[in-house]
Amino acid sequence: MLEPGRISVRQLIVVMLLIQIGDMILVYPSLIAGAAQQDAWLASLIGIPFGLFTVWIMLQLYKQAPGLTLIEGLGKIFGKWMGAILGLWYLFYFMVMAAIIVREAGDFLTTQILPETPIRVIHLILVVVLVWGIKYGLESLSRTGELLIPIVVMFIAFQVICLLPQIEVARLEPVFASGAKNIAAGATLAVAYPFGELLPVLMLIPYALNRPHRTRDLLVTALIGFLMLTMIVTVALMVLGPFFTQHNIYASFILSQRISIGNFLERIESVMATIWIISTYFKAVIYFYCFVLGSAQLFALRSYRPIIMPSGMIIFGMAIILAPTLTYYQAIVSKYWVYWDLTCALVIPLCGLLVCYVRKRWSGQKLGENTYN
Amino acid sequence: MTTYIAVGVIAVIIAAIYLPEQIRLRRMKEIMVFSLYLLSGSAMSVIAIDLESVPSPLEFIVWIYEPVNQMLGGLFK
Repeated sequence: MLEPGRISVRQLIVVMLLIQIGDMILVYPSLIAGAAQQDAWLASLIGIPFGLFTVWIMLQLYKQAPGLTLIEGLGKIFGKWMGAILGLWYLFYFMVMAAIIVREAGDFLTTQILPETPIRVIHLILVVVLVWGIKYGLESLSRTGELLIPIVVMFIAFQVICLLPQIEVARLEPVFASGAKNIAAGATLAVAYPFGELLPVLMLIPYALNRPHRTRDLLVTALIGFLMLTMIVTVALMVLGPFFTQHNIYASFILSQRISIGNFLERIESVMATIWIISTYFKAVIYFYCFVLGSAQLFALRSYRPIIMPSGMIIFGMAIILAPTLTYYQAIVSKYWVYWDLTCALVIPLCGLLVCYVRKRWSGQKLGENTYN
Repeated sequence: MTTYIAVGVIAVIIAAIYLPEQIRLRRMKEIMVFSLYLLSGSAMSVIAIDLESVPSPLEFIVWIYEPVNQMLGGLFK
């Protein structure tokens, strides 16, 4: 075993919730409102069953190769060569995900809070913290998550409650006006981003203790995290209106700037930004961990420790190389990234399940023939 | 020039921390993967710090999924 640490189911759930909130708490409203305008909340709700199905498929895939992480499991399910190719594909995915999340944090800080700091400096600090987090292993990471999750959840709830006086339901009207195609596009986004990006859970499950009802607990966690995101979307639509939500990349940041109660409780957006940086850091660190652990498992190394720092350099470089500007990757994220997420989170696991099913049937029949003869 | 020196120094420090033990234990695979990651990481860091313009790996993703998007009738605009 490459990872000596063990985590409890509760820690796994906490990490999962933080991944799901992750960077989505800030960019999800504008993404989904960009697809489905004022029906974004509806599209988001329509996405729930499909999203839960996606998570369920992932967990079923894990049951086909229990005790193995995704990268090892692919080798067992698809065979050596196909498994290695798919493993490389997933490593690329994990690397680009970790880099793009670092980039998102960098772009957010340089455009909204620290406009005169070069983005590379922020990336450097973030990557140093990522490397630092991984060096202490999975156990300390998930304990940190347990410490931080109450703050994150509390402040999100606080934001929503403080905005309640400003909501106007009329901003959601006319309902269904954006058309079936746009709502379908919005629902696809809702499946791909918050649910599809839970894929790292497959890399962590083998190190979590097995308890009864674990699958059910994980599904409920995914649902709770997603309902929080949907709530933010709905509040954003009702306070800012569809147009403003759609055209602000950081809609929930603008939302927290709107909070003003009795000319006293104001300017809490930097607190919200801190919360967002915490959850984004967590998503980045888990993807980074998947990349490092996955590489060690794919190349059958004895330990993943030596490659942590070189991988940090890769992430640091990749974060800038990925996209020349913010608009460049925003266009790709809202258009093509969806398919990529769905391929990794849904299509490949479904193929894996199919392969397992066919193999089981086939070998079962052969066994039957043998007993007849 | 400063960039090359700075990244080079960091790469050498990282190598000095981890490589000697791996070489002593003659773990060839570890040494190869470590060197590959360190070299590509250094190259990427230099590119990132100097803001050189290189083709983005996301072009690959666009190239793969462009037909899919067209097949679905441009679901995402």
